[in-house]
Amino acid sequence: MGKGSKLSIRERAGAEKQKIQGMTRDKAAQYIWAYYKIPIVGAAVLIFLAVYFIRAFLNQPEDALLHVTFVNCYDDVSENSDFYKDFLAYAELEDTGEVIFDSNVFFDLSKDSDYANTYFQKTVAYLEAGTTDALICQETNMRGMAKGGRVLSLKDVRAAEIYEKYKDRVVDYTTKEGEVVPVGIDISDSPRLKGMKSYKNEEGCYLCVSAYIDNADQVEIFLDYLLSE
Amino acid sequence: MHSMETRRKVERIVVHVVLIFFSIIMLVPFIWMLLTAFKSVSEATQIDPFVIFPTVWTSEAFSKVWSNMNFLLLYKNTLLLIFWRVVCAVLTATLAGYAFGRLEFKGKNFMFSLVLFQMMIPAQIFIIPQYLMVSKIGMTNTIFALVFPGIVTAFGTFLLKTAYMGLPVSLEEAARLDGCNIFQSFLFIMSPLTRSSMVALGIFTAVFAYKDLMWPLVVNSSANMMPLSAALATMQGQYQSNYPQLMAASAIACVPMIVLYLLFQKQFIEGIATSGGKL
Repeated sequence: MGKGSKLSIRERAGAEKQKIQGMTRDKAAQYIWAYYKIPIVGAAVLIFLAVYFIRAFLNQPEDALLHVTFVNCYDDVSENSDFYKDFLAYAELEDTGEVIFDSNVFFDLSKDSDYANTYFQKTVAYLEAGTTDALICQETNMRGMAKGGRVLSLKDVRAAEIYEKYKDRVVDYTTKEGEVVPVGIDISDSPRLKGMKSYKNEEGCYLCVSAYIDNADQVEIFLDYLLSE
Repeated sequence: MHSMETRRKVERIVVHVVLIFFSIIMLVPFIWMLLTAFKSVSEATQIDPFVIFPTVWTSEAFSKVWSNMNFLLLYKNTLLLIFWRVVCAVLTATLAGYAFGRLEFKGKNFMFSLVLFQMMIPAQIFIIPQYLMVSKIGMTNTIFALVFPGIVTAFGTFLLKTAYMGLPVSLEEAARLDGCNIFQSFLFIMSPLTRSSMVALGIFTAVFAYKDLMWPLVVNSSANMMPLSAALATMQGQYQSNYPQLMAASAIACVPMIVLYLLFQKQFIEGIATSGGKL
């Protein structure tokens, strides 16, 4: 049984079994640990990882019904806030965590340096992965996002109903090529945002739809809520 | 003879004064953090640079922050993040470093240049594709998501490759003559000799995992799955002007790293000396 012997795995296993049979239980355990600790530890790690991944896959949460990112918002829009609860009541939704308002995002795209900002990177990642459905932000940030092509043209078929309903509030962005693209809805006078300290300056407040969204129905309901009395 | 001694004494005093001066400069932010944590909000925000010590010492910020944030959970997430990042980085870097340093195979140089190329690209470039990968497999808001970018490390591969290259070939030849195959000579002969490099890599990985902000902030939005760094960043938005609470939370967040440093002080210093890097 020297290292590098040409025995098959079955033959080696048989030989090892014979060796162990002649030992006491303690001796056998010591022998197995001394010669096979690496495969044992490796197998334990593999089993742990397999169980972890199976559990994670089985328990993974459903995709959110609506995920809105509030850029530069210092007000409380978490699940404990009145704003959140009001919206759930308006949309007749249960509080099951399917609606997410993320206000942990702070950047200002009027500064070129903020394109390297962590929160901006986070927002871009969320948009591209389809995590975020809509953004609420100030004008410069809306234009910065439109410049990168990350917000939906409201003339797109996915936002057709929103465009029709809120035509008078649409804000355009002109591309380098001179194309005029409707990219945001002006919600500066939203009665629902009145109580908030954020979005009160001359920059105004706009809602943009993610360019990576499949269906904007929930965004439309949210917009209806923002602009309702 | 006497003048030489005096000169040496003066030199030593000058060196010590310079070192003490720079040590104080390094310590000022830490001391300022601690002192601000014991101030009231109004005192912390008043514009008077000469008021360094609190007029009234209060531990209110500590108690508020401790009750508002689940620090035990944050410590747990941070320690799991550090543990798995260190295990994965050391394991993969050791295997890859040995392959690049000691084995001959087709495309070795090309593959190693790809590893080096990865070191030259800013980390931000990888954030979006990595998030897309984690998001598509539905693993956001998990410990795996936190660990994911640290499973392999270009720096670690480079460090361990250099360590393996520095070992004499005769050792490996002797192992082969004694009947070891490649894996056995790697595991029993070569890898134990690169222990100091592995420790250095482990320490670097632990420190970088602890202070990593961007990735945890992107990938784990759930408050239950955040490490300390990301949880502190969320405080800045909610309590923008409450500096005492922010500083108290930062002071509490420093504790695990201070404990780790005290426990592994020797290895920390050896690690810096081995790799020639800075933390």
